[in-house]
Amino acid sequence: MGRVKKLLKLQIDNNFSYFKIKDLKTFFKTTFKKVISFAILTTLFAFLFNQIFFFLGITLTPELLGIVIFACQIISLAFSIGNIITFLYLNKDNLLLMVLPVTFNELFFSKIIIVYLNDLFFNIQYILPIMVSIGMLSKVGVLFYINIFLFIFFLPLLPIGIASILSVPISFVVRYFRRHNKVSLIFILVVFAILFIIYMKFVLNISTSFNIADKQIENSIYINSVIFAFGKKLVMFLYLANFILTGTLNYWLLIFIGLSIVSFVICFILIKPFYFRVATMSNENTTANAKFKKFKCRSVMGELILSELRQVFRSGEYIFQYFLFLIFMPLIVFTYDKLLIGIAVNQVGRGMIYASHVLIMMLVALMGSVVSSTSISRMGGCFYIMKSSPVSFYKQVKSRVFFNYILTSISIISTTIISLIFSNISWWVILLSGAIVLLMSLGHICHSFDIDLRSPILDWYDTSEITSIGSNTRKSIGYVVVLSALSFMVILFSSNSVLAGFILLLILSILYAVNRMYLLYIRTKYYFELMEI
Amino acid sequence: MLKITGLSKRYGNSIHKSVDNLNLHVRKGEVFGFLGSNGAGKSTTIKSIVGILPFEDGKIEIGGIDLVKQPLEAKSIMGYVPDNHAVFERLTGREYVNHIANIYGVSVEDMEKISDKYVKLFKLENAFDNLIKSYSHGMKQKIAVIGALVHSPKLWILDEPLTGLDPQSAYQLKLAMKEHAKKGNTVFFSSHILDVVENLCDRVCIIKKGVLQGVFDIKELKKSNKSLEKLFMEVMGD
Repeated sequence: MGRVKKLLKLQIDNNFSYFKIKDLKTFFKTTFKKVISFAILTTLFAFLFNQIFFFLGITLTPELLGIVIFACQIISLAFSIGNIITFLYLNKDNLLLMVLPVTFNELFFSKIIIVYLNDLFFNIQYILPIMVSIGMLSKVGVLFYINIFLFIFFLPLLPIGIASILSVPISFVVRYFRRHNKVSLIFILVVFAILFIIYMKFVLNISTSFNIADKQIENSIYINSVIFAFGKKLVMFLYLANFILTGTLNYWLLIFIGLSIVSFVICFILIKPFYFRVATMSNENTTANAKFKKFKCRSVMGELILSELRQVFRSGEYIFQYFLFLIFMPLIVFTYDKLLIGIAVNQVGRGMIYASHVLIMMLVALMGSVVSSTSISRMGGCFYIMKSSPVSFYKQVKSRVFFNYILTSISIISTTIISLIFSNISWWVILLSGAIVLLMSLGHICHSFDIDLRSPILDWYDTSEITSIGSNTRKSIGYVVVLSALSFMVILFSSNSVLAGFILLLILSILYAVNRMYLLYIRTKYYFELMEI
Repeated sequence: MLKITGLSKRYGNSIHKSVDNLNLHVRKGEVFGFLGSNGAGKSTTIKSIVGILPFEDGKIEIGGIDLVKQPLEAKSIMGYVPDNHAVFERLTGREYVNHIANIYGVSVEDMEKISDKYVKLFKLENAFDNLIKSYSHGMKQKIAVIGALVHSPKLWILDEPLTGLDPQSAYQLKLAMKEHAKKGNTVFFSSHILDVVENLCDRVCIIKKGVLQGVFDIKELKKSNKSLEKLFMEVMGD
């Protein structure tokens, strides 16, 4: 066990910086930050659920809580699959740990514990706020919080068990997609298209059959009956929810705990043989299997953009980051317009529709430009190519900003055209919204680039691409929320003269775009020269 | 070809200077070895020369061009092979070399001529049109070398170039370095393999804790029957 402990310590130190903090001041500061972010997330969930509960007339019952726990387990399952693939099979530390004087069983055991800890922290960070917020809204007693806190340690077990079975074929599929980028692109698009069609059907159904003013009580009764019926079917989760809410013990509770532990043990037995095989697979390949292409002369700008395009299209992660929001923006905006028009019809309601149109369009468009917040960082060890090239820093920045902006613009213009053709919203609102979002996204791309320019996360010996969300990305997403919320409020609070609101917002977006372009321009040379790797 | 005057560099708020008042003059047509133990300031100096790291004091001239005043002109006559051998892994070997060549404004004829020569030399024919991410460490290094040579740089800078190369490729790379210098270009490289440095270089310099300890002529050294290894040990004080 001593060696397992050492292996665990090594991996915990490597993966969770929080436990490495030795300075008491930094420890308290980091803990405080974590508590604050937990409180913010809980408040946000509470606000969201309050709106949904009020809007749909839902009350907290064991059935509803059972459904929420079930949904959380599904979310946790998705996270676990990713977690097992990245932390267990594909982690770079495998090669380092395998050469240590430890048995394979010890290594595997320590790795599984790390997978569990990762899932546990995910549950504490995201699932616990959901539960706490529901408890807050439903004004439940202390028992609820005690039970939730106790169960949070059990909640990752079942998803890990199921994920371990699913992860084996998925890891092979992931490896296949990493080698076949075109197949990967088509797969991602098809999956999202299917999900979106299901989602659209759901939303359109609601928008046609749903009218708050006329059918609120009717709908509330219907929804509660659906929740009751579905919740009853999830027997195990229903009794778990019942225990959490009332403390009532039932044998289903023991089945849940037993099943969780058994599935975790099965996970240990089942995936162990696959771990060694998958973890030691090599990507190296010296046989010719690609098409011969001739050398071509291009302008520097053309070459920089083409190279960026190639690298994006050859990475499932980058395709996801660049195109997910942009491809579906026209559909998302169209669906929301349709839904909102079905709900609100009076003067204040129209203001709400216009504000929501801008809000949704801006949220989606700006999320598509968040990827600029890793423009420098994702070069990793290749950053030297950028810095030692005889190409001005401005040109290099321009090529990357231009690349992202072209993609975003195509999506915004398509959304505007689709809205003009199919939406019932006034044409001038659609056009002005399009112009505002075009300007805001230009500003936001420059802003995100600027964030990364000032504090890139660069490692000289790291040649892998950055795909995870770092602090720069979090900042950029923060600005997406702030800018979208501000734009929403400007339109909403000018309900008496919507045109004036739009003109004010247009002026603000021009100022934002110009200001961010100017700041990026003046900071580019300064920060590029200062940047050390 | 390369003139460094009073170069000093410190990282962040560190009191310690990684490179302290370095003065060096590397001539046209010579192979110059840059020696020092780990952490002596070799990579820092090299990164400063190629424009990756900013420096506080001093002046670096490449072929008479001031690196700070005319960075693009100075960079356009340099080729650099870093010690991390990082290259764009989502491009094929050919696309990467094409990318670098277009950045330096090389004609298609020259791209073909130079890359063909080195692809054959390094036996990369079967992998040149594959994605670099499928390459081994040594193959990535070879692509980095071809990328650095595709524009026939007047000053070729290599940081630990022989690490990770198979014996045949290491031999070919050493030949390429000699040949490049023979054409009137300059090769400046760092290495820990003293035998190689001794056989390959015209002159070497040794740096210790950021301070230049001296510049030594290999022919003079041989005349005095002293090995480079012995000199290195003497200078480093071991």
